[in-house]
Amino acid sequence: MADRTRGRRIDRRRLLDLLFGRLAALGGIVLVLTILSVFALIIWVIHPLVISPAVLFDDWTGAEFRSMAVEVGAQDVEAQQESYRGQTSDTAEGVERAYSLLPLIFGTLKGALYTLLFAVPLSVLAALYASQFMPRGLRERLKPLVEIMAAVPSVVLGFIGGIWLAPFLENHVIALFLAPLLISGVVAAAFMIRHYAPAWFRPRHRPGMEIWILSAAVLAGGWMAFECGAMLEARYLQDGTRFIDVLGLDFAQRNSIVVGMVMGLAVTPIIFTISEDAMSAVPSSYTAGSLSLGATRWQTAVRIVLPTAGAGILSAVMLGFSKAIGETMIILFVSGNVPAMDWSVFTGFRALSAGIALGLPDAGQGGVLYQVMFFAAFLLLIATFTINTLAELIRRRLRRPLMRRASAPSSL
Amino acid sequence: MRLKWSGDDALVWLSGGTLAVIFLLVAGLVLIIAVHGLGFFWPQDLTRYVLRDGRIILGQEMYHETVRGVDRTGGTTFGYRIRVKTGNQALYPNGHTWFEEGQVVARDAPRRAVVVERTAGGDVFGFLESFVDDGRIVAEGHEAVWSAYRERFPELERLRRQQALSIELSAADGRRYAVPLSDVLRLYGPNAMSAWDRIRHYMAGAWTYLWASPRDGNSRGGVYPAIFGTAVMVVIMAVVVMPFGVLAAFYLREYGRPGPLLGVVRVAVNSLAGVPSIVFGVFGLGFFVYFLGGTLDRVFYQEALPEPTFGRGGILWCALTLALLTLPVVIVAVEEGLAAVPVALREASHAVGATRFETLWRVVLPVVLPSILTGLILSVARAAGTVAPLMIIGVVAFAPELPVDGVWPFVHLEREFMHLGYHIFDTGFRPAGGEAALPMAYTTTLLLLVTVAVLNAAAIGLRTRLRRRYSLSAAQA
Repeated sequence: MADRTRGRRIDRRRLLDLLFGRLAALGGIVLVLTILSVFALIIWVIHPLVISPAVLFDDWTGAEFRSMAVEVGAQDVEAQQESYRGQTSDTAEGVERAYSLLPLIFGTLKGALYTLLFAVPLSVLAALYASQFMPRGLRERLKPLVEIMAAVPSVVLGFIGGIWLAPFLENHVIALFLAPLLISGVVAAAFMIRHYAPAWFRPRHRPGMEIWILSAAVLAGGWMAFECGAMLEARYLQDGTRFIDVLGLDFAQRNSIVVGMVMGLAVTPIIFTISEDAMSAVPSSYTAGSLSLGATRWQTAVRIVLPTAGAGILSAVMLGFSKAIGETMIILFVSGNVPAMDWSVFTGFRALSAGIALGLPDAGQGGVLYQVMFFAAFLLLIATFTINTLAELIRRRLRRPLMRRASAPSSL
Repeated sequence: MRLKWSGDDALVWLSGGTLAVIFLLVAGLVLIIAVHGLGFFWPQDLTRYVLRDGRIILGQEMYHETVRGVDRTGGTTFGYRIRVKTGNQALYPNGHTWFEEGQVVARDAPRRAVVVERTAGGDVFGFLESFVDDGRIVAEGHEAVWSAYRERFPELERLRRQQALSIELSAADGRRYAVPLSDVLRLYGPNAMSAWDRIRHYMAGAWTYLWASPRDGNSRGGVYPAIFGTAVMVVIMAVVVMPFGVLAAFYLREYGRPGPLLGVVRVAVNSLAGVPSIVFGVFGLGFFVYFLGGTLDRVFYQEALPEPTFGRGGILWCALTLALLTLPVVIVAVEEGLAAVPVALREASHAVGATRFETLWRVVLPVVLPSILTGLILSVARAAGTVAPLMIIGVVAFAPELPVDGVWPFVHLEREFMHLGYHIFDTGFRPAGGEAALPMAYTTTLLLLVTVAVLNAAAIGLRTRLRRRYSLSAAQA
């Protein structure tokens, strides 16, 4: 009797164990099903388009895209769809042209490119500094800040970028181009002063305190850039013309420079964190060896740490690129959403993500616009999926040889 | 020993400069949001400008703009243009005006100037002239009208239904303007306010902002429905995402046997984390709204068709979509907690004969609970700040009804709702209230930013404390 109850109790325990195991597996399977159904649903919606893809790329002037997307209300879609299916009348051609996705693909790439142009130098150099030259304690305090920066909602960045930064930069174009030069100049000058000043003038050196001097120098450089910009405009531009008018270029207030800066700030935390991790993972035996052979700190950082962490940095940049492609709210606010196709930094563009956000609410279920919007989503999905997977693979390949080599000396 | 100068250390400083640039840019943008956002409730002085062309304008200075002019030699000069909010949209088109600073002959801040906040149509600035009851002038002059208003203030809500009462004001140039008392929300004279009055006014404004509905095309009033809608959606999202997230994390770390299935699940988590938010929105529209919602409508709400009930955007579908979006966040947080549980704990539990489930339930779960909480906080912060997918599946700029109210069945999951992030987008991107809506959008931006930052800081603090505890216990072991 006692044996039987004990046996049953063990059975019940085993059963519970088994059941929970199955339940947990169910959680995992739901996850897999989710991502599969995302793919499946989108492919199911777009399959009529894939069968006759001409509608997507027929005419890439795309100028009509915006007006059509707005005009095609829910009630119009049926009629449009019919004329599209007929594919004989003149209106059908008009509709086809309206749906060209090429300007949107172009816009997405343009936005991502300028984002990376802004974000990669800044965040990779910052990561190099943080991982190699910053004292550990300060670096540990930096990390939560970066994490919170990564969590800033993109609608917040987009709002401030579109409403405040874009009009501000419009009036300070010269200053914007002067700023990198002047900031570097002031930082270098600050270094010289500290380096050559007599000992009594130099404050006592505490590791990491230079970041405060640096911040002050950057602020001063930025301020000087604005002052010089205003001065130059006042001195050389006659009759109240603006610098951008002199260049004779198309200028939109919401342009690619602003996109690059604001979206750059959005992807900076990703690039910074991942490349900082990669650089910190470089075994100290490498850097110690380099320094002991007489290389300077900077030579060690650039010739030893950067190449060793190269794959990690590459994967960081790729992840930043993928985030820039999928970003929506910032693009909506800052890019101007005009389907133009040129590489100028002073013009806006219309990206796939923003196109979906603006176009899909107007698209009736099952209409051509609806399918085209799903196709845009499909492109985004495939692109980000491929890039993320590649980045992950690259990062893993980097880690393996590093681990092996790092562990080798200890086994001696 | 001092190393010889080689220019190398200057490069180190330059690389450090990039870090400073990043943080100063972010700090600057946050500062701008904070200054604009917090300044919204402050009672700004009314200034009376006398211009060279004889115009007299009473208003609140919005900003100085730099304008370039040409001087006699053909060089560029800089001047300031003052943009003034004039209120009184009936007298001044758009409610604001601007003039060159050089045009101003005199300016002062008349103590008797008042601001009348109205239920619709924007503010009115002017001087109190008379209080009219049914065509009869009851009181005349600033003091008398003010006390007449004060007398009736406690019963303002009741008087609002009477159309007969009105306050007559005069603008700076003497034009008369009557405001029915039914339209008046608040009457105050900013120029005569003491510092304490101003603080009280500020607090009252902030209170209204948090607890009132918006008016005037989302440019005034409060954002209570948006706060409420965001909160309700996030709660539904959390209820859905937490069980799945925790289960999946348990599977990945505890139950999953190394093999193809585990690999596939791991790939799924990674790719789910990389899907752009707008694509989740597209999926939510196609799957939840049109497929699930359409099916629900056909089965349960046949009588309402063709008017869709669940087959259109609504709070439930938004919550489910965001649950998918935040699933990887929860999984990663819980997994990290599970990974930190010392192996010794588990082995000890197994050694005394506990099954895997018992170990999990009695030993691992209590240790991991804070990590689960971290995951919850992070997912809530993420969901509160995500707007893009919601734009296509049920967020609206103005919803007449809240998703939870006193009408059966109390929770209306099919309703469209207002959301803080979308409120920012709508007022900033296509302001119905014109530029006048922007100050409030700044305040909402600040609110959202602070909420998300505080949530994240809490999660980070929690995680740091946990890590410290584990490293301590690991060291002791």
